[in-house]
Amino acid sequence: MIQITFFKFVKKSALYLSLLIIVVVAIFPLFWIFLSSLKMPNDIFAPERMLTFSPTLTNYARLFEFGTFPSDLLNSVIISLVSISIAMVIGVFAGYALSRFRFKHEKSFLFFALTTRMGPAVVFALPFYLLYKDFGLIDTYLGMFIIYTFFNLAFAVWMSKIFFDEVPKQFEESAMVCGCSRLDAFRRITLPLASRGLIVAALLCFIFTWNEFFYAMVLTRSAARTFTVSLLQFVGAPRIRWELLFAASTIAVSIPIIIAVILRKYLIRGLTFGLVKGKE
Amino acid sequence: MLKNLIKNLISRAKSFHFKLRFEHYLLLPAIIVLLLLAIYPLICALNTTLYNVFLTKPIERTFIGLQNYIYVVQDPRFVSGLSRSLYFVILAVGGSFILGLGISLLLHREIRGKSIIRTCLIIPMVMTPVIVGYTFMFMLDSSLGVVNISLKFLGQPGHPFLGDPSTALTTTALVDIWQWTPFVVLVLLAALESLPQAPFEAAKIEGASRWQVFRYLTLPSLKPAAAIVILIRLMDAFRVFDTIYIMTQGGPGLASETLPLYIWRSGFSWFHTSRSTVMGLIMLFIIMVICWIFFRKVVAGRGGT
Repeated sequence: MIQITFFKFVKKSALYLSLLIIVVVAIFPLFWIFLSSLKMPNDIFAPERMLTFSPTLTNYARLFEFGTFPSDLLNSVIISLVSISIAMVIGVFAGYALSRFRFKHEKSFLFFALTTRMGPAVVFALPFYLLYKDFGLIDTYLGMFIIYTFFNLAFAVWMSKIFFDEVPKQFEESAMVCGCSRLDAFRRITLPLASRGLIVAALLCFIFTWNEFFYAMVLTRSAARTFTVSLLQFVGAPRIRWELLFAASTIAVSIPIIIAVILRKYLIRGLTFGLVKGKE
Repeated sequence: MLKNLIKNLISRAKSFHFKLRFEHYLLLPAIIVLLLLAIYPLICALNTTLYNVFLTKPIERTFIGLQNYIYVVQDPRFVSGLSRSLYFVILAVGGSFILGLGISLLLHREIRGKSIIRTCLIIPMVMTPVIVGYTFMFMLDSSLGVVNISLKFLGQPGHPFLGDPSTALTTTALVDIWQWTPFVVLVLLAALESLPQAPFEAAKIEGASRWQVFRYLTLPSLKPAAAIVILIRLMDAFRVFDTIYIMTQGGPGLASETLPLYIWRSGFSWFHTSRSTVMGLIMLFIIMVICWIFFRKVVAGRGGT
C-alpha cells in the first residue's frame, strides 16, 4: 500500500518536474533578454556576475540618445497599423463575399491566396525591389504600406471568411425579409456578430507585420526603416552593443507577446488558418 | 462565309457579357490587389530569368534563353543549399513534431496550472525571429554565453555551437524547434481535448492496455490535426531566413547556407538577379506543391471551405 502511494508520488513529481522544465525552456530566452537589458556592459561580459549584478535602467535611457531606434519603432507602429487597416477592409469584404456567395473559381482563388501567404519572401522581394526602384518607392511609407498590405491580405481574406462562416445566414436573411438592404443587414447584424473574430484576425496580422524582417531589410534604408532592421545597427563595429540591443528587444518583443497573451484562446485557430479550433 | 463568322463572333460576345453582381464588387478589390501584387511581380520575375540581368544595371540585358536555368541546376552551391534546406526542414519539422506530440500527451490530463503553461508556450511562437536569433547567438556564445558557462560549470567542455561548421546548421534547426514546438503542442492539445470521450471509456472497459489505446485510438484520431500542423510547419521551415541570417549569415563557410540564404546572397550581394530569381521560382514551386497537398487533403476535405 505504502509502496503504491510512493510510486504515485514519484510519478506525479516526475510529471510536474518535466512540466517545469518545459516551461523554463520556453520562457528562458525571454527572461534572459530582459535580465541582460538591466545589466551594465561589464556585467554582461562577466560570467561570475551572471545573476548577481545591480540592475539599472540606463540602457533604456541610452536607447533614446543612441541611434534611431525610437523613430524606427514608431515607423513599425505606423506601417503595421496602416497596412493592416487596408488589408482588413479589403479582406473583410472579400471574406464576406466568399462566405455568403458561391463563385466559379473560389477554390483556385483561396489556393492562390494561400500561396502568396506561404511563398518565401525571397521570391517576391527581388521583383518588388526592381519595381520599387523604377517607381521611387524604396524607403518610403507608401512602399511599405503596399508590400505589407499584400503580405497580410491573403490571411485577412481567409480569416474573415472563416469568421463570417460562423455567423448564421438566417440572421441577415430575416433582416432582409423585414426590409433591410443587404448592405444594411451586413452592417447592422453580420459585422457586429463577427467583429470579435475580425479583431482577432487584425491583431494576428499586426503580429506578423511587426515581426517581419526580410521585406523591410530589402526595401528600406533609413526613412521608413522598421525596428527589426534597426536592431542590426547595434551589432555593427567596433563591438556588439548587447545591452542596448536587449533593451530595444525587450521593448519591441513585449508588444506581440502582450497581444498574443490576450488572444491566447484564438491564437492557434489563427495560426492554423482557422482549421483547428482551440478551447475557448 | 466571313460575314457568318463575324456574326457568330458578335453573338458570342453578346452572350458572354459578364454582369458584375454585388458579391463580385465585394471580392474585386482583393482580387485586383493580389493579382497586381503577386502576378505582376511573378511575370516580371519570369521575364528576368530569360535575360542576363544584374541588380546594379537592370537596363543592360541580353536575352540568353534558358541558360540561367541550366546554370542553376548545375550550380553545386545551389544543390548543396537545397540539401542543407532539406536537412534543416527534416530535423526542424521532425524534431518539433515528435517533441510536440510528447508534450501534448503529457499536458492532456488533469494538472494544476495548465492555463499558465499554455500561456508560457505561446511566447516563443510570437517572438520576433530577429530577436530570437540574437538571443540565441548571445546565449550560445562560446566564451560568455549562458549555455557554455553552464556546461563548464557542470564539468563539460564548452562548444562554439554556431561557430563550428559541423554543428552550425543543426543548432539553427534546434532554435527553430525551440520556437515552433509550442505550436505543435497547442494544436495537438486542442485536437486531443476536442476528441469524444466515449471510445476511450469503452476501450478502458474492454481492458485495452495504455499502449493499445494510444496506438489504435489516440494516434489515428490525431491524424487530421497532425497533417495540418506538419504541412504548415513544412512550408514555414523551408522558408526560414531571419534566424539563420542573424545567427550565422550562412556561415561558418557555407555550413548553414540554406536555400533562402543562398538566394538572398546571389540576388542581393552578388546582384545576380536572374539566377537568384530562377532559384526563387524553384523554391516557390516546391512550396506550392506542399501548399496544394495541404489544400486538397486538409482544407477541401473539411467540406465547407
